[in-house]
Amino acid sequence: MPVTRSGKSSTPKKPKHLIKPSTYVFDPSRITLPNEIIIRVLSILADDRKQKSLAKCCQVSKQFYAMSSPLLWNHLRLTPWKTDEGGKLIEDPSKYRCGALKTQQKNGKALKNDVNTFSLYHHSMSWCKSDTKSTLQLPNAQTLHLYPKRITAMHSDPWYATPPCRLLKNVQPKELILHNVSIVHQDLMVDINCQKLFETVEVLVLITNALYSDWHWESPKPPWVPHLRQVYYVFEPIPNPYPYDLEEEENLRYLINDIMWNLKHQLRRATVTFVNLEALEYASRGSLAAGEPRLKTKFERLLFAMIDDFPSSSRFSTKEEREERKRTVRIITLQEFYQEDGWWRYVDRQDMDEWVKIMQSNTQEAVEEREQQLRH
Amino acid sequence: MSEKKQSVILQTSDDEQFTVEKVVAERSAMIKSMMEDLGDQEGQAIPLPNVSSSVLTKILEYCDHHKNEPLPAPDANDADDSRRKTSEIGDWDARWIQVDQEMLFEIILAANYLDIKPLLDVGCKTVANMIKGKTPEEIRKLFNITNDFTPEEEEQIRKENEWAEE
Repeated sequence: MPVTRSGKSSTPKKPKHLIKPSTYVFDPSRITLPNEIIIRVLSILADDRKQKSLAKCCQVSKQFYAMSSPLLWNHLRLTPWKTDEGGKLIEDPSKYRCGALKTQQKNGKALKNDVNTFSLYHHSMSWCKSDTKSTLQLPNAQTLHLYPKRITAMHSDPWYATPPCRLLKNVQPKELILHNVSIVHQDLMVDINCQKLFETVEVLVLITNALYSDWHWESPKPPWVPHLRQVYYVFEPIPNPYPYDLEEEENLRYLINDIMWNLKHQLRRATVTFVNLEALEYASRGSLAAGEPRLKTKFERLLFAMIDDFPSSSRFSTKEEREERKRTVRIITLQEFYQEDGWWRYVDRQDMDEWVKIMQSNTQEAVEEREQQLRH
Repeated sequence: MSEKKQSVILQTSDDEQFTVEKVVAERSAMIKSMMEDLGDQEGQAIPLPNVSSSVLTKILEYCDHHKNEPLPAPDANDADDSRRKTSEIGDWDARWIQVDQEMLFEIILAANYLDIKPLLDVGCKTVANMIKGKTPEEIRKLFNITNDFTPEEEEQIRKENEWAEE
């Protein structure tokens, strides 16, 4: 056995974590599926937000790797969290290294060119290594999903210690989807602290939970999004622990105040679509009213009245400009959104299925209740 | 219209002949276009050299159950179309496709050959569900594949995809 100068054996060190050797051998008597079918199967797996199965497929064989790896990396999801049985976020020990993802790794560049959609959850700076100089290049990431912690920024560290997140510095998406947005806390757009991020954004989607618990009077200016064409406010149907009375017009007016501010200023040139306003009703009472779309009518009336009241000193000084602003506001139901093209780029498919179910079952309950009332 | 005109004869790889209602056979875009080509030549069997009688029997059950549903548009954007739909398999389909793996793969191959898109969808979703929770070695067994990675290479891939683990 050759001996090196240090006197140690030159036999290569065995890796610590060795995968068990495979024993299965191709059996010619068994039926096999052609690649075009296998790709179909893998694409179905790729639609699942749980990507573990697809990751396992990458390890199967060289050919499976060639088919699954681009599908897996098409949507890169980075999170230090997992959910426990109760649905609570807890730290995932197997992910503690994932925030250190670098472009310089072996294969790194090729893999990162595959990333079309990037999802990033809130985390600490020690996890994403934002104190180091390395960056993550994702030149083809068109769609960015951010899951900030409520109110605060992507980094859970105190705000004064927070530089821009290393993982976001070089991402320039066309579509930006902000999750867990509370409609009265628009300021989180500022806290992300990466102005460059907004330079290329054309579509902004705010997934708002319609929770409305605490008073938050300040509404700092959101960053300038120069190429913004479309804004979606998607209201997520979840019951509110602090119900409010939507019958009180003042409450509704307060609720859309911040939205109005944005319509007047930063979002002024964009088409604004409100999706599933009915979730407000669900959040306020834990149920839905059947029949005519009263909330939509009321919301529209209040909104348009506010637009009419835009001061003549604003960007909307003439009547035509105000009418144009009204024309580019759309209010649609979740079902209508579901029929539109491309929603799956903004909303997770499993989430969408769940929301549709909640909205349908609640509407059904409300219809039955109403019928019963009419009978009595 | 005569009884004859409403049906078509299909001939399987093992030379069995099936007389099938046209509306059932039409679920297969491939048979549908062949029927259109044949036109008036009634009574002539359509050969299906890639489908055995046991698989065809099973598939005809599916086609019969779904015969009243609208046919998918021939030029529909495949990916977008299936994305819009939910990932779940219908109750009847799920019960119908509870077969052994050999049969499942035969059904998928036949659905692909006969061009029955919704059936191909159901089959592929079923296989996708079978992959869930399996180790790479179990997936190799499922698809009849020899591993051509060294353990080091496999470990390298496991590491680069660590972010996707649950």
